[in-house]
Amino acid sequence: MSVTTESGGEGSPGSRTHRVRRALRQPQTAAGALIVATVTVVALLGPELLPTDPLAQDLSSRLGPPSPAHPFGTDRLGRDVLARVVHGARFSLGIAVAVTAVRFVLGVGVGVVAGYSGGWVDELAMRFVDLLFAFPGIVLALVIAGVAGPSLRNVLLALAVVGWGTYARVVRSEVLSVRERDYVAAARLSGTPRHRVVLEHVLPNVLGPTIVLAALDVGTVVLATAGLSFLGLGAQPPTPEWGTMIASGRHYLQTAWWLVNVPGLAIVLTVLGFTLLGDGLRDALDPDGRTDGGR
Amino acid sequence: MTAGCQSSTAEGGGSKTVALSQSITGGDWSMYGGAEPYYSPMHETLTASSHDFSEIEPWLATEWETTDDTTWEFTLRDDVTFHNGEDLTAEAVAQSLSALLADRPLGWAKVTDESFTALDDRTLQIETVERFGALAGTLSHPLFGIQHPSTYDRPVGTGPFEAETAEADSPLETVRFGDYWGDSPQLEELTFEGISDPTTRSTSLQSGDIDASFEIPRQDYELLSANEDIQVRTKREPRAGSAMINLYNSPTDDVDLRRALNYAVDQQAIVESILNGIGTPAKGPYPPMIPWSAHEDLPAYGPDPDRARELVEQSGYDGEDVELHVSSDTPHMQLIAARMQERFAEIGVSSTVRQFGRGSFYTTEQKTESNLTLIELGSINGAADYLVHLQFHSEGGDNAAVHESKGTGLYNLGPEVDALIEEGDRALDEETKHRAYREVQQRVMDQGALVPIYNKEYVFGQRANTTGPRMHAVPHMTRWTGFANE
Amino acid sequence: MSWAYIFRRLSLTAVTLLVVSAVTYGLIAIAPGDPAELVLQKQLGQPPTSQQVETFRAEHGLDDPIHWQYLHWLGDLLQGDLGRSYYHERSVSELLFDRLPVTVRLAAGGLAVSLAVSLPTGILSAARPRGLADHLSQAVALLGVAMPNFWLGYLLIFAFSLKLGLTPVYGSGTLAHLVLPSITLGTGLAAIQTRLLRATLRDTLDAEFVTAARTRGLRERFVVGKHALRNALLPLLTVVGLQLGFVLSGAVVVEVVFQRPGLGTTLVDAIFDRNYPVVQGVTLLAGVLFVSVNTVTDLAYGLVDPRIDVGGDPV
Repeated sequence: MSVTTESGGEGSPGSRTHRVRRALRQPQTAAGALIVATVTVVALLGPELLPTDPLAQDLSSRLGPPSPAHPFGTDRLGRDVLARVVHGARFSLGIAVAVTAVRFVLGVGVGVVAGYSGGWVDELAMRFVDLLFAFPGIVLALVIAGVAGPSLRNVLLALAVVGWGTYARVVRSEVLSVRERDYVAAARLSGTPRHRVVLEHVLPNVLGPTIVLAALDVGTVVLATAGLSFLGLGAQPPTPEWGTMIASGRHYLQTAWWLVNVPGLAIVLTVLGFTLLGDGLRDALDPDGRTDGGR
Repeated sequence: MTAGCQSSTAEGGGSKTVALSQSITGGDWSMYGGAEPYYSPMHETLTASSHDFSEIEPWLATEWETTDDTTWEFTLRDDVTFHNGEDLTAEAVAQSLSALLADRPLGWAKVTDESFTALDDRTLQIETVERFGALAGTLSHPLFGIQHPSTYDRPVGTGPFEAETAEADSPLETVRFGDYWGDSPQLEELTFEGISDPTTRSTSLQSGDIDASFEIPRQDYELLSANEDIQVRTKREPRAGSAMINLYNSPTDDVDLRRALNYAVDQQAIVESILNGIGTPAKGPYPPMIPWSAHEDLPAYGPDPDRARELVEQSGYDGEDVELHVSSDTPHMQLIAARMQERFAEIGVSSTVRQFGRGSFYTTEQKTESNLTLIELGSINGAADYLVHLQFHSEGGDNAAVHESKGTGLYNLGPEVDALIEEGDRALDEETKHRAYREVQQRVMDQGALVPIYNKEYVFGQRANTTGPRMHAVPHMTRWTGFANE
Repeated sequence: MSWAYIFRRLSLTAVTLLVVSAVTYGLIAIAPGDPAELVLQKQLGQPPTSQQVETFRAEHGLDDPIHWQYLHWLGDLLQGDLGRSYYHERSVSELLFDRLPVTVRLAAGGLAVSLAVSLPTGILSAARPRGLADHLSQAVALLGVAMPNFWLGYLLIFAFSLKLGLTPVYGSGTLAHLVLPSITLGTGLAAIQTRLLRATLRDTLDAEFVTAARTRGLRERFVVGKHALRNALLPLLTVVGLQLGFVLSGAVVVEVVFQRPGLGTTLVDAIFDRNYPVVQGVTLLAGVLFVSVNTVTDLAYGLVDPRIDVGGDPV
C-alpha cells in the first residue's frame, strides 16, 4: 500500500475500491447501477428467457394495443413489441458498449503513450486529437454512416472514429499528474522496464476518470445511434434496434403510440441508468473533476 | 394560413395551400421556368387524359390526325393566351417543344427537337421517329407542358393560375390568371408546398397549417376520416407495385422457382393489412384501368403454398438466398418485403432483404445483384404504352445497359417478346396494339418475370371546408379550377 | 497570449479543414450509387439512358480520378467558388447562404431556451443544496439528457400543435415556428448546462472567499449573485462553446422533425442524393463555424481569466 501526500488518497487502489462501494450505497448511484444491471441482463439473457419470436408476423393482429397476449402491443406486421424491445437491447446496448469500448481502447492507448512519452510524440498525438476535436463529429458521423451505406456496422465505425478524443485527453491529463508521483518515480529509478511501469503503476491510476467517462459515454452513444437510425442511416428494419423502432414507428404516433413510446422509454431508462451510475462513480473515481464537463 | 379566414363570395376567392411530398421547385425545371410541370396549375398540354384514364381528350389541341405513318397534324384552339399576354400559336408551341426536347431528349416519346413544325397559326405538324400510335396520349404527359419560348426565367404557361416567381425550394405561390380560356378558378391564390415527411403532412392537415395534401400516409386514413374537420378520398391510379424478378441471376433464373414464389405470396392479405385496404390485389404488371391491360384475363397464382412447395422441389432449389431489394424511402415496401420473406420461408426458400438508400437504389449495379426488386411503377402519361417497353424490352430501362454489355438483361424475356412489344408500340390501331401487349403480359406471368402485388390507390386529404378538386387517376394531372371554399 | 499562439490556432484550423474536406470527398466518391443516375432519374421520372448518364458524368467531371476531382474542387474553393449543386445547377454558396440563417435562428433559440432554464435552476439549486429545487432540477436535468430529441419533438408537436393548436406544425419563418424547435433543442442543452452549473457553482460557493464574504454579514443573495456567478461564468462559457457540437448534431435531427430548411436537412438530403458539391459545402461551412466558435471561446476564456495560460497545453 503506497503512501501519498495528496489529499483523498487517490494514489491507492485499495481506498478507491472503498470509495466506489460507498458511492454505490448512495440511492441515486444504486438506482443507476440497478438499471444498468437490469438492461445488461436483458440484453444478454432476455431473448432466451422470453420465448416470443420478435420476427413472427401475424397480420390479423397488427397494430394491436397493449393486451394480456402482447403486453406492449404489436407492430405493423403483428410482431410482438415486448419481444422486439428485449431483443433490441442486444443491438442498442451492444452497439453502445462496442463503440465505447473502441473509444476507450483508442483513447487510453493514445493518451498513455502521449502522456508518458512526452516530447514530440506527445505533441504529435495531441495535435491529432485537436484535429479530431476541431470538427463537429456529427457531420463526419453523418457522412461516414450515410455514405458507406445504412447499417449498424457503419454507425459503429462512424461513432467510434469520431469520439475517442475526450478519452485521450482525459487519460493524458491523468498520466501527466501521475507520472511525477513518488511511487512511479521510485519504480522508474529502481530500473523497472518502462512498459511495466506503465502497466502496473500508471494505468491502474488513470483508469478511474476514464471509467466514469465510459459510463457516461454509453448513454451518449445510445442516443447518437438512435439519432442516426432516425435519420435513416443506422440499423434498418426489421432489426429491432430501439432507434430504428422509433424511426419506423413515428408515423403511427397518433394511431399506435406504443410503437414509439416503448422503445423511447427503453432508451431513456438505459441512458438514465448509465448517467446516474457515471455521476455517482465520479466522486469516487475522479476527484480532480476531469470528467466534469471540462475540456 | 388556416382555412376559413376568407369568406367565399359569388366570384369565389380565397387562398389555399396544398402539400406535396417534395417541393415543386426543387430540381432542374428550368425548361418550365423553375417549377415542375407535375401537379402544377400553370402549364398545359396539347391533349389531356380523362379523369378515369379511359381516353385522351382534346385540350390545347382540338383535333388531330395522321397524314402518314409518322406524320401527325394537330389543330390548336384559337382562344388561348399565355400568362405574358401572347397568343397561343403553332409556332410558339413548335419552338417550345423543340427547345424542350433539345434540352431533354425523351426517347420514349418517339419525337425529337426536329419533329415540330408550324404549318400555320393553328396547325402543328409532328413527325415521329417511327410509327407510334400513342403519340396523342404521350403528349398529355405533364413534361409536354407548353412554356412560352421567349423566356425561361419564370413559368409562363397557359393554365388557370400563374406564378410571379418560382424560387428554388420555396413554396410555389400562384394567383388566378384572369385571361384563362377555360372555366375560371374560384380561388384567388393557390400555393404548393413540399413536405417530405408523411407524418408532418398528416399533422399539418389536422392542425390546419395546410388545406390539402397528396400522399397522406395510409395508416392515418381512418384517423383522418374520423376527424370532422377533414375529408379524405382515395382514387385508383394507373400504377402498380410489383417485385420485378431478375431472370438472369441465380436462383431466380429458374422458371419453376419463379412460379413457386408467385404461388407463395398472398396479395389479398398484404393489401388488407399492410396497405390498410387502400389498393387492390394485382394479378399482373398493369392495373385494369389501363386500356390494354390484360389484368382481368390473367389467372391469379395464389396463394397456394402446396403448389409452391411442389415447384420448389421441381426446380431443384439448392438453398441459395434470394435477395429482395427495397428502397428505404418506401416503408410499406419494406413491410411487404418482410412479409414475402416470411412466406418464402414457409415454402422452403431462404431470402435476405436488403435496403438501399436513395442514392444507391436505382443503380444498375443494385439491380443486377438483386433477385427481386420491389418497385412501384405507373404512368404519368395519358398513354401508358412506354411502360411495357421500359420494363420488358431488352433495350428498355434498366435492361438496356446490361443487355448491351453482357447480352443478357434483367427482366427482358427474349427476342420474341421484344418483337411483340415493338409490334404494339408501332401499331396505329388499337386492336393490334392491345393484342400484342396482352400477349406480352401473358408471357410475363407465365414465365414469372415478376410477382404482382398491388394496384395503387392514392390518398388525398383536405380540410372539410373546401370542395373539389376532381380527383384524377394520375394525381400529377389534377386540375385546380374546381378547388374552392365550401 | 501570444501571436505565436494565434498563428498556431489558425494554421491548425486550416489543416483541419483541409484534412476533413479531403476525407469527406474521398468517402463520398467511393460510396456506392451514381449521382448521375440518381439525379436524372428524379428529373425524368424514369431511369435515364446510358447516353444521358454519360453526358451528365462528363459534364460534372465524375469520370476523373478522385484526387483530381478533389483538387479541382479545392482550386475552385480558393477562388471563392463552392461549385454548383447537381440539382438545378444552383450555386452552392447561394444555397448555403439561404439555409444558414434558419439553422442559426434555431441554434440561438435553443441556446436562449436552455439558458433561461439552466441559469435560474442552476443558481437556485446551488444556493440551496439538497433542497426541493435542487432535487427537482437534478431530476429534470437527467431526464433532459436521457431523452431522444426527436421523440420529444414529435410529442411536443402532438401536444401543442395538434391538440392545442398553439403553434404551426412545421416549417420556418415566423417566431411561432421557432418555439417548439427551440424547446426541443434547448431541453437537451439545458440539461447539460444545469448539471454543469450545479457542480461548478456548488464548488465555487464552497470556496474560501465566499465563506469570508458570508461571515462579513452580506446577504446570501448578494453573495451568491455577485461572486459565484462571476466565477461560474468561465466554465459556462466553455460549455456553451463546447455545446456547439451538440447544437449542430441536435439541430440536424430537430430540423428534420420540424421540416426546417436549414443546414441540417440540406446535409442529410445531399448525402442521400450523393450531391457531392453540396455535401462538401455544408461540411466545410460547419467546420468553419465550429472552429471559429471554439477559437473565440478559447480567446474569451483567456481574457476572462488571465490566470489561465491559454497558450500552453491543458493539464
